[in-house]
Amino acid sequence: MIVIFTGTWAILLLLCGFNWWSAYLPLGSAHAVLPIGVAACQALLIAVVFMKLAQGPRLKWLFAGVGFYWLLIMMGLSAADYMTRSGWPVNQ
Amino acid sequence: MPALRPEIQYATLAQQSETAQLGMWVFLATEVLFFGGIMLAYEVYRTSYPAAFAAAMAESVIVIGAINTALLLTSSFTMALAVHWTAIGQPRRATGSLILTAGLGVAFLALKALEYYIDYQDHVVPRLGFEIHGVPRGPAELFWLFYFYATGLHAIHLTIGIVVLSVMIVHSWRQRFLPQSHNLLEVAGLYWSFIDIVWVFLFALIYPIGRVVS
Repeated sequence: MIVIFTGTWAILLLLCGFNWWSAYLPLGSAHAVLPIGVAACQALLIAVVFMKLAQGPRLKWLFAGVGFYWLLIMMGLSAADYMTRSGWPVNQ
Repeated sequence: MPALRPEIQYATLAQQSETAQLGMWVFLATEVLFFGGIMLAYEVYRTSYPAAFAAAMAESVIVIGAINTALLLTSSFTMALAVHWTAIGQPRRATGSLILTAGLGVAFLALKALEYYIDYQDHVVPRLGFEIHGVPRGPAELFWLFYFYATGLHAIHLTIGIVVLSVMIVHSWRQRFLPQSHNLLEVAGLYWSFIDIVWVFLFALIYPIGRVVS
């Protein structure tokens, strides 16, 4: 178990370093989503390994997932609203 | 030594432990929506004013942000070790790991305070001598409002986590946690790691994302 924890910690630090480095990369439109994607990978690693989602009853997945499901609904419907508005983004 | 039997409403210690963890996950779901709403509003305005937000973001101290991220990631690691060592009956190691975890949390807050001071010196605190050149002042100031609001709320959560950890250190030091029964520590560990998850998203949104407008 300690080996798994240590390996996860090392990967998380590497991902942190990558996100820092990515701030200065000419990535075009990917620049807006890459750091969030890396953060999502970090969050998944922390939840599965450090918060032990991988162990114990599967009911934990449901309880952990439902918050993110509601978040997706909130973000999805909000994005649908803003992306279909005329004159948005406001400064373009 | 506490008796090895569950509370009256539970059939087994395992059921009691699962219930405590599920309860914490329900609380964390409300926290996901709490911070999620702030991040959603931030993204709406960042997408609306990309140039002003990028210019404002360029003033943020990414070095301290990255070091703080590493500190919190390490604290999640030491917190998981503390729970593990308690579960295999090594309370001394668990106590040491908990002290290290709390210390990393305090180091995070100290660096955050230093960062706020640098921000003040750089004249980026809204309504306190705010200055920015080349982009509209309003949207740039909005970025910094989000920055202080989101990082401030996160710091409050982290402070609560440090207080909780201090109680856990005392419990662990007095060997009140047993390998078969340490629900308080498990639940405190979930809360601590969740604070870490919130921060990795805040770091991504505040420091690197859209910093280079290409």
